[in-house]
Amino acid sequence: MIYAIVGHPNAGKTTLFNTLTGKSATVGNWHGVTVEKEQSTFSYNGQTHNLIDLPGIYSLACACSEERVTQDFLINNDYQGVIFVVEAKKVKRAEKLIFELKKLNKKVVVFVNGYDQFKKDGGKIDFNKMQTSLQVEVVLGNAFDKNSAFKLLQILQLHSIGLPIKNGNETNKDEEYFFPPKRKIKFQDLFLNKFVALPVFVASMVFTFWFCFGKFSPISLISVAISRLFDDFIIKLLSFAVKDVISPFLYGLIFDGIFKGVISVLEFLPQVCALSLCMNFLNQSGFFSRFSAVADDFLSKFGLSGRALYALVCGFGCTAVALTSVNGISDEKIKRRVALSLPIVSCSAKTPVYAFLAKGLFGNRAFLVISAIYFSSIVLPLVNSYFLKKTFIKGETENYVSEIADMRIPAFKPLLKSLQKTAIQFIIKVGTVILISSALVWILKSISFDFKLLSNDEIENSMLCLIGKRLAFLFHPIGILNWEYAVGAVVGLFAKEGVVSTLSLLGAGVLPLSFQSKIAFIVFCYAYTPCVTALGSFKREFGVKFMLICAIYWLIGGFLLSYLTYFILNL
Amino acid sequence: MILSKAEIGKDYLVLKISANQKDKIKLYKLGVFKMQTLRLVNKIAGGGVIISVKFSDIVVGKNVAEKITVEKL
Repeated sequence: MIYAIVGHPNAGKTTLFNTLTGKSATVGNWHGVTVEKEQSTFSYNGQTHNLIDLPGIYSLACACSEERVTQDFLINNDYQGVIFVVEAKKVKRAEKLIFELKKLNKKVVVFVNGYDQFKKDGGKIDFNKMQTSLQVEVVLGNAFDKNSAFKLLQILQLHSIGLPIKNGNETNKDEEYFFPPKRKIKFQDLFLNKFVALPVFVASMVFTFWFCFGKFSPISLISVAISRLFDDFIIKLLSFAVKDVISPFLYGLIFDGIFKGVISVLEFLPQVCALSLCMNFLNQSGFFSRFSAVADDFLSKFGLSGRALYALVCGFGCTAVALTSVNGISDEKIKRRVALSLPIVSCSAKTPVYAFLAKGLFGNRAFLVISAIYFSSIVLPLVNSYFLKKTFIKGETENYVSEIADMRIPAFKPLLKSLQKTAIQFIIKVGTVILISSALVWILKSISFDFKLLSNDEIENSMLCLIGKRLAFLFHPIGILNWEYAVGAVVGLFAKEGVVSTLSLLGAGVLPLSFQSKIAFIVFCYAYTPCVTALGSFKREFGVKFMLICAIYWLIGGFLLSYLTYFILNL
Repeated sequence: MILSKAEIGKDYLVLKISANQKDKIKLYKLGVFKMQTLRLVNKIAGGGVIISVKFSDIVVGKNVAEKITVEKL
């Protein structure tokens, strides 16, 4: 049995999808989070169901941007039924779409999400009258609640064994089933005032950065504890156990190469998770959605719109994912400006890079340096978009008309799921790309071009050193003469965390650098070409040509910004 | 009067929408059309407004808000 989950944007479709399938697809309290269809199977009472989560749609008649994915699926694909998800207080507005769906001659089950809160606010839905009025099966519940999902499954089960679902076409309009609560001036309306929204935004960002990177923040202390646990205990213990058992080459590869590289990145797991948690909290609270309305006019001056804010916020997680969310923007010019600005929104992969470089180079002042970089991640994409608007991607922005999300305290489960997803993805990346690149870097630094094994004192004759020296001239203008930094930048093209593992492995953290050079190198790491995963996403969304443009644009951009920083700091 | 000049917290009836077809469709999908009631929730910087229609909060940019004619209820 194949079922499509359909509904207005931000109705809770993906949350229900996750509850039913056990998956952890991205959710957010924002309109247009899901822009592509997602598919998964689940079993219930021995029967396998195939569930397809579709982007939100308001009407089948006039679809735009991501709505076309849903329209196309519903009209052209084979499926047995539709699970229609609707927010309790918006049931009346959804009637039109329910009738459109019924005309497709598919079974429709309506899932009314957020009913508990609706009741608490003083609203009421007469369940029986609603079923009679709309001639569909109705389930009242909460998308993240397993009991609600269980009720839905029971109905789907009845359907699958051939019992009919109420699905007639007659509507008895005399039957009023919806009794809404009175609209009050709500606390959340305060966040639509720029004098409230802007300070709250700045304060939440400052708190986030302190929480993740502050010297005495709990997260920094956990990070230090993890680092000590590995360095002072696990590695020493393992090293003691196998030192005399394995060959010196293998020992070097495992302990000086793989372990050193992997652990140098892994110790930043708490920071990556904490940053993701804070951003997800703000996202799921609906604050960003409200802020996008306040910021629309300001953003339009830079060639963006309030809708672009979602993609930019996603960029703090992963550039590749953020590029997919760009599909939710209907204006093609804004879409391209956002895409070309995303590489300078600091993704979570860059977090270990800043933390490692700032900690190693600035000690106690690391928090200030990292905060400055993250605030640049908010300001510079706007500057870049303005530059693109005036040069390569000219044109005014479209008029902003959009629904905005209600603010709420984020549910614990989805937050925990997304945290778990971030941690697993980070660990997988460290266990694959970083592990392989650390091993490769160590092998290349340990052998010469005539394949002679070298000792640590002979590193100047290694393959890695000779390759690095060929590229080192690019960093001479910022006062860096050491080849190690050039190698780190190259490895960073595969995964940004590779900069950390490589520099740690080559001992670059202890190399003497001037204050200006340190800052300029951090700026370079912040701005240069995104990793191969992000470039792959560019290719998928915009084609090879645009991907190459982006890669070259930010390679040149990264160097120019770092040169400019060095120049300004030397004035 | 035009929507951007309306009073915060008051209910209005939409009399006319003279925006372009693309914006009209967007508004229609969100439940904003002729003879529909709405409430002005807030005004935002730059001339845009936040309205409430059938329990949904909708942001309407300045250019569109100026093209919606409303009457106080």
